[in-house]
Amino acid sequence: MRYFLKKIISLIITLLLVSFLAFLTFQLISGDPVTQMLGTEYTEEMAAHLRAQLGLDDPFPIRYFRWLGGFITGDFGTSYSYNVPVSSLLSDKLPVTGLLSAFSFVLLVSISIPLGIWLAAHEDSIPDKIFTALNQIAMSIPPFFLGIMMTLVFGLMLHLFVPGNYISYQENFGASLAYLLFPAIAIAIPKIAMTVKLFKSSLHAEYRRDYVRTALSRGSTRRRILYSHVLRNAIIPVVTFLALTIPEIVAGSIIIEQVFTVPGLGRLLVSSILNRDYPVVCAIVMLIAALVILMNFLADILYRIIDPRIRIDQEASK
Amino acid sequence: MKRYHIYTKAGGILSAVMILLIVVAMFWTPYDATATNSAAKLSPPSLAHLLGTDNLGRDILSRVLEGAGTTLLIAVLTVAMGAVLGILIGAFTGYYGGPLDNILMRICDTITAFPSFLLALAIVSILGSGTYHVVLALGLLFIPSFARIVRGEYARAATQAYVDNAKLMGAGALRIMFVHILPNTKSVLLSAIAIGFNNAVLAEASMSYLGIGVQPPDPSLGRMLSESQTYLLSAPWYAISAGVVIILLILGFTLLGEGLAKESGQNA
Amino acid sequence: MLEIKGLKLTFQGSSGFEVIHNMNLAIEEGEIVGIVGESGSGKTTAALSVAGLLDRRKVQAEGSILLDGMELLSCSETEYQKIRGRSISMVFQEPLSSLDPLMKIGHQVEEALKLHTNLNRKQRRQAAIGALRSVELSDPELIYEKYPHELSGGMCQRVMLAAAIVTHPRLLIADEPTTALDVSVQAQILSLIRRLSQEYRMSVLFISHDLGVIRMLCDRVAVMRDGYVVEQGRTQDIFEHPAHAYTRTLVAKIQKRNDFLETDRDPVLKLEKVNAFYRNGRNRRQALYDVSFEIRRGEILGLVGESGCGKSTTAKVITGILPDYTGTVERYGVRPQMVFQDPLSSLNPSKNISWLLEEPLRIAGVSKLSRRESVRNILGRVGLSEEHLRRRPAELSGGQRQRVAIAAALIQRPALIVADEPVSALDVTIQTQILDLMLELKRELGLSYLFISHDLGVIYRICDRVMIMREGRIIEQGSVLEIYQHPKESYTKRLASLAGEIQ
Repeated sequence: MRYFLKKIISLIITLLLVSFLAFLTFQLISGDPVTQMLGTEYTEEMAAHLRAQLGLDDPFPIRYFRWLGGFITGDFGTSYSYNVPVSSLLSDKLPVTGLLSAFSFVLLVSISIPLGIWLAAHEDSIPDKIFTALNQIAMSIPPFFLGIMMTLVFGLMLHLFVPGNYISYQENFGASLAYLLFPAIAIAIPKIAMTVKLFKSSLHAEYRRDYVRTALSRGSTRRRILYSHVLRNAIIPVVTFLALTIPEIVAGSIIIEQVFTVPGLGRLLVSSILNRDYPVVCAIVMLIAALVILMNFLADILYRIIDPRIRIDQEASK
Repeated sequence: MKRYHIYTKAGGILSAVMILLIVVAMFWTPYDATATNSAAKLSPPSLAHLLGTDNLGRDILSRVLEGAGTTLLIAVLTVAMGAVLGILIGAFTGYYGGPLDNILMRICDTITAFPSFLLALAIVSILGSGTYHVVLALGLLFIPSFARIVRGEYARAATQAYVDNAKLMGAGALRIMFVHILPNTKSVLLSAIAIGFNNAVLAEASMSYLGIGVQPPDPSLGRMLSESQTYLLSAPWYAISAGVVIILLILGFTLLGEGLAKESGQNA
Repeated sequence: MLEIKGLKLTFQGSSGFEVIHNMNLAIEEGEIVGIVGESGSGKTTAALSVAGLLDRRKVQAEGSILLDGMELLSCSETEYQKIRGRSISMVFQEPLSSLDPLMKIGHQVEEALKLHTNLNRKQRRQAAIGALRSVELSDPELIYEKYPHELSGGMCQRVMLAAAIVTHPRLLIADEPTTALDVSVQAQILSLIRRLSQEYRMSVLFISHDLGVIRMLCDRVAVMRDGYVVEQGRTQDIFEHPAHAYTRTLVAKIQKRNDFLETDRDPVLKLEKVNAFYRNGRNRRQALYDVSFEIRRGEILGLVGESGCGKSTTAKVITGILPDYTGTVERYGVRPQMVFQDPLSSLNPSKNISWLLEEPLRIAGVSKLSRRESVRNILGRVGLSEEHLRRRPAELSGGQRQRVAIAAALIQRPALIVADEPVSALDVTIQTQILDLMLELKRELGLSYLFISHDLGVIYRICDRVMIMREGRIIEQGSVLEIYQHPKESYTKRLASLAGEIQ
């Protein structure tokens, strides 16, 4: 229990630290937002008025805590370029990116785990060898290029979907998913390659452990050893890896959205960076940061639940 | 005498060929990569243009090679920046340990947990885009991953008997760190550098694809991919050429990195 | 009961070399037979072939292995699966890693029952708890629910034994089962194996490199070298009248040398009331308590104790590697040098021998020419030649590496060398050579040694005086004969009784 408490405290500290850094970077280094909001023609008076209105004249800590308080309550500030609350911009896009990421994560897990087990049980078979060769190449393909090729083949040549014609999930959930299938695959394929590779090498390492020899000496069959000993041990690093992959998948969606013209966070982020719309950039970065930190936390917790060794090690060293 | 892993050989050869082509392209390309030719817009691969031409009639082979040059330059500079600073930080924190080590490594852990291209985007959004800003952003982000790897090696080495032995010889801390320990991290460092190259190539291509990385007139593979999407059906060779070059660059470095990692794992 | 006749094992492959040559060995019911030999002698390969655990695609077997009249070599893999765990069980060297880290102890003990019997869950549980009780684990119900990492090495080995005997097998193959354990735990496991063998009328094939252990336990012993059984017979006969030359070297290893320290000389090291500490994060742990002793010129002082008792900490304090201590350490001017257990880790793997030997002189600012000169001189002393200079540590044999380590220590002209388990990682014949070299250097150069070891045979052979260390304290010290013949502390008595088996 003390371990969880410690972990949660360190989680909060990390989040505060990251938020402070983000604030420092985007609110202070990014320059005076007023001049950017007002464009080229403005008077000093107008600027001063706006500054006071935005609270930019207040001392630094107050501005930080006000900003942080806003963040926690869902007030991410006002977009410079659209002049609307950032939260209203995000509420549109966030579910789209979330849906895409979740979709490709589901694909990742439901393909890589059974595939890894199957390949481990058929080690050195022909499919295994073919897969190993393909795997290496699949890991080297940038997802956005994969996306472009899928657009070309499945969209433009086979007409399985109409590129650029994204259907909102509110309008037709099924059609929306059908469109997102292709970007989700493009994100998932390199990750599947990595996961299966990790899983296979983990299985391979476990097979060489002493307890496998013990099980053999008790009369176990190879198959039984795989399912009752090796698999459980080998899957631990894979679970951790999968949890840590989630932020990568979100990052992947941000590029892939551009390829398939999906109106999610990615397109918003890119246009905001190009327009120097810092409140929007800052909000998206903070959201992803929170996701990263949460996933790390989750990976830690999962690890402890699966592996009885960790519980004691931590308990002993505290 | 030393036997190389098949990945090391394949990756080494592939990378060497790519680098050779890029270096040649710095001095000579089949066509001027910026010369437009309105008579030969979007022409398919032929003997005159091995990889065809783009929407302005520019020779794609020449453009791809120059773009790969930019990519490679960025990769070399970012990895150099990340490796040098990462080695320094990792060596000191790993060798001495202590509270500073804990704090620095926690920070490094947090930073490396982020998708590096996203953080680079955030940095570039402040610095503004352009080749050297991309280098700076990616280089900064590579420091923690190098520092972490080097730190691990040094922390392990610090408990090894050969370091105790060096102390008994009367060697000072700096000599132990950089004469005694550093050569032993060679194989791990080499594979980290190869993986760093691969990440740099991917991150640069992604950023340029989004239009936030390398800016015109500097040539860039990522931007070519983004331009090519408009002509995807009429001129698929445009996208394929740029994409395949990126894949070959990454594949070469990945294989090299993995081969080296396997070799060092076997020797340890 | 078990009969091995004309067994030949050949590794398949391009070279196809034979690893076991015409091996003959018989084990009667309830008998404990030892196989002793160095690493690479083929003893483990032979044992694995009895259990059918060698990869049939890689190893070809000829001859015959009969278990109660059944030919094992002609068994299929499926038939063997029915024999393993039911008629033949095994325990291994590393008890902790031999158990599945994610499975409860109880379920691991039950595994053989699950595979070979029709007992239901409740009956299996009962049998497992019974087995845990019979290996003298207190509170078996509690142990049943635990995971391997929650138990000590000795307890894990008891669990391994419980899992092996739960089906009442005819034969137990024990492959170095006590090598990874501390001396005092070793003795308990050995007597447990003997008791179990008697109780269940179970034969034991016991494999070890350690003569002391073999002598304590086995009725008969076979000595193996390079895949041959060079000698076999009753344990007592082998030890008292070794016939084969190799057996004689093995037995000689545990005999006393006869040049003792003649007179009192100047001290080369003096420790007074040393308390030493390790810092682990925020915790500061005391590793040594009031340690006082001195070493005189030309003396070999032994330091004995279990792992973690503070032996290596003492070495680090003496050589100045561990600065966090109180009390006085008088080194009389010259810094003591050190020879470590594993030369592969104490010699920088990325440098060649010439660089390694020159490095201390280079740091001291000695010119290149005289560095070369010193290295050439030292090479002859330790029995190496110039051809070794260009090689890296990994390209030398274990014995050569330890010679390099000794040379690297000598080149700094110390009066005292701290040797931390310097021969523990070496094979017996090489051990003898290195110990001879150390004695020779002592005679010729007047060197002193602090000789740290857990191997009582080695200590007995070369030390003048010996100290016993336990939990950071020196609990007893005196001349070797005194300690071995009239131990005072109960712990020392236990150690000495083990050593008594060796003498």
